[in-house]
Amino acid sequence: MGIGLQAFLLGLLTFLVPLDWWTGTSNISRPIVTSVFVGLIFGDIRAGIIIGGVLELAFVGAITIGAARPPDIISGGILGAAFALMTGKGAGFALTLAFPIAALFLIVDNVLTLLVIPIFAKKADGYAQKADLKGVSRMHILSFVTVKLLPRALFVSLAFYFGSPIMKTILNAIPQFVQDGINIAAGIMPALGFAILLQMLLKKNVLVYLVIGFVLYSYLHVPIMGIAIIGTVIAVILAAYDTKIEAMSKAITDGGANDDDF
Amino acid sequence: MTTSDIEKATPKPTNEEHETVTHKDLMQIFWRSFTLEASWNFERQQHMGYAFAMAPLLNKLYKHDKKKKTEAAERSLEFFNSSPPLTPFIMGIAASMEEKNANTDDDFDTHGITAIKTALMGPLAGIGDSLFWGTLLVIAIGIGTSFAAQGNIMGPILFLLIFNIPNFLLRYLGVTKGYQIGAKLLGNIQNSGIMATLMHAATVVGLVVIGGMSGSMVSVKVAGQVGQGKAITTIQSMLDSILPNMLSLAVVFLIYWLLKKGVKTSYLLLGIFIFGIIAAFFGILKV
Repeated sequence: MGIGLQAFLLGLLTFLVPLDWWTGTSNISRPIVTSVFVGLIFGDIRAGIIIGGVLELAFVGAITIGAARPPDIISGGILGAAFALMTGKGAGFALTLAFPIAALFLIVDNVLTLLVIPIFAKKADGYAQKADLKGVSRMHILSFVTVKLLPRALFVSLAFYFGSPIMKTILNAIPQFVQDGINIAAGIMPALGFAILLQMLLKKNVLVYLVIGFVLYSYLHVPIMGIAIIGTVIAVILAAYDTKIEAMSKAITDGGANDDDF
Repeated sequence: MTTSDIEKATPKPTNEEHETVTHKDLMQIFWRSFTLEASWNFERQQHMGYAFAMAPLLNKLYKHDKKKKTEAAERSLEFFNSSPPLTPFIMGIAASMEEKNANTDDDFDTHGITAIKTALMGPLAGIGDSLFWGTLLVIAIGIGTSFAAQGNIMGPILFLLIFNIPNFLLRYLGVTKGYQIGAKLLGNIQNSGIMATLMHAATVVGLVVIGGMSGSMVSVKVAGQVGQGKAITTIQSMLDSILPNMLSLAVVFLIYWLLKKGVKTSYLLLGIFIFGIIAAFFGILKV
């Protein structure tokens, strides 16, 4: 497959996966999913899936919470996986390339969101004044296509087309210890994602649950699926207990009130 | 024959002011709520997405009243931002209020609709974020990547199923229950402690899974050996005999501590790369 066709297909993929935000925030734009298709484009689905798994873990903290915007995992994930598959380098390189690309496109996306969407939003206000709800809906669709679909697809296509000839030379010039270092860093990277999540979840009285999960894996080698099930069971038991205590305390206070009446 | 033709052909109901919300209308909100984030922007965030979801219903309810329809359209374009899986619930409640407004003569206070939207989007965003992004996505990533590491296509498939089955189910329940509840029972839900219990339960599952993944997916391996001759052992196997994966957990807590100290994510990212390369250069860690 020629590089032109590959660049086109990668652009097409990048055009389609933001449909994530058209399909109920279904997470189809996450690297674990997109890498399957990048693998398909480069004729090695298996390698694509493996790279996707590593990228996904590294980007575990890259989630939208509130209004804070994470790096653009779509362009970073797709281009990172594409360059790694093209050069035959491993997942560590996909990761190294993915982060700066994701950070770069976040800037582009922010600028476009800042400058272009308000134009459509203003038009939508105009349609609303005329009670034209179809017009309002059209502005929603136009914002999506012009800001979220087209620019990123163009960016990925061009970056791959012009970047890939030099990428091989650059990657081969990197000394062995740097390559090892990158892979060591790739192994540590999920820790950053988990730490970001812990900021949201961790309080002193719930630290023990983290320890339970850790021990289940480290000593008992329970697969993550099993750990998730055990975690859910613990949560259900706790919730039932919570509800019971609440009902009991309510009964006690009600009883107390009755005593006063007596 | 298009839908608008059908509408024209169907005789108007005897009481032409009375328009009700049907199950079909709610399903339309359900499907169109999928696009909530598509035109996200800094100023009013998900406002056009909200309007897009409500548009067909508002068109129907205010078919005969252009003034109210204009107000409803403008109301739907007010600032909106919440957790996407929970917004159909807010939309269902808003639908019941818009219905009431459409069928009452002018004495309905439409500020109530805005007030309910605003009152709900904040707390529900918090719950939805920790439930879906803090817990469910983490579980989906944990299970998905453990399959993907072997190149197994079940990885991405399970990832999508684990996240989206609850996602779509909650959206369906949200819009239907939201409409049934209307605005009246909200106080009860918030007071009953159900929300707090749910949040706590979600946190527990999330933490158990993150604990497991800290062991299984963070890899820190020390290079080098100690001892001589037959007594030679790798430093890594010594560490493992004390507490397996202890360095992985330590690194998670170290980064957590640095984040708490206010170190920026981008610096930590760069720091991890530099640390990895230095560690490889001096042969401290191995791949």
